[in-house]
Amino acid sequence: MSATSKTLLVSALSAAIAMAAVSAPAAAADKEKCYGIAMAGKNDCAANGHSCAGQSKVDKDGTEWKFVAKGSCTKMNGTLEPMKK
Amino acid sequence: MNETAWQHALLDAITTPQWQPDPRFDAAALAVYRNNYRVGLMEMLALVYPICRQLLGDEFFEALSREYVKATPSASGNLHRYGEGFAGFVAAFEHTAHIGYLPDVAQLEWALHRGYYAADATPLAIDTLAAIPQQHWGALCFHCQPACHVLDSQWPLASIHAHHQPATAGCAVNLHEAQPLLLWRDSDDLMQLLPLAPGQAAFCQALLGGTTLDEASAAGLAASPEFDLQAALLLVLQHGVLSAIKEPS
Repeated sequence: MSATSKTLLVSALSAAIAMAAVSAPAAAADKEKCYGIAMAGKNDCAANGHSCAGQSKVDKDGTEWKFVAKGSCTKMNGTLEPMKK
Repeated sequence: MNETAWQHALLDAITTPQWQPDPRFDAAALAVYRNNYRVGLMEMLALVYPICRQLLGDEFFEALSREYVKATPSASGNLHRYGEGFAGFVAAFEHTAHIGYLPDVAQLEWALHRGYYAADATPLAIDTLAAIPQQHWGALCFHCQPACHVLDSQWPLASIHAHHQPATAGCAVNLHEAQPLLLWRDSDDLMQLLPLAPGQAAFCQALLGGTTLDEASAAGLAASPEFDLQAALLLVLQHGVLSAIKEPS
């Protein structure tokens, strides 16, 4: 690494330290975390009143693929075509 | 056959994607367990990949997740670890391969998902850094926040993400704009993302990979002549990307 870049790092980090000192992230030390329950429903086998997820739905054996994407990909700028990169 | 072996055989028969009839198990009864298991994995994918689901629509996503589950056994007892290969799957899958941004969106959702559950780490105190003599700064390496992740994407991931959030739903997306991202978990334990300026992705990726500050700076400058080192350093300090200074080995 050249002497110029070293000077650059020292001045850039000095400035960044000074600026970050007023806006540093707060340590989350005072927060109690509840593992596994925070994201709604993810661990919840008893959702929707069923004793287990599978009872709410019987999956089919799709042998023939005939589905068409009908979500927001068709609206987002109206294209599904690959972009020229 | 002892009972333990029989139980293992039953679990295998339930979880294996492609099952062959086996005289030890009643096919109709086993089908109930196999269905529950498979639907559980499919519902997991829908929870981990809500933007992919919105992009493709419910029916398409369900069919796609069925194909993924058929091809991909779960490698962990923890459901939260299921679905890591989804980005690679949609990139290669015949009916989604033409949607260029979809694999990167899936990577983003996986990083948000894993980052949310990543281990805690205290952000590096600014005073700790300030107390180190300046001539040693360049040689410093860091332990970083496990929740942090860089996605060096050619697609407008921040806009696509915003387009699918309730508060900013339907906002404009310019598919020609590259938005490499920095992901981190904030002090409220929520995942955040920010599009990166030129060179910042290479800089952050180097730091996360354990290089020295000098090496990371060089990586940023090499990636773009517009790289602003001070802005990049401020970015990682403000968002708690750095956690602790690595002792020289």
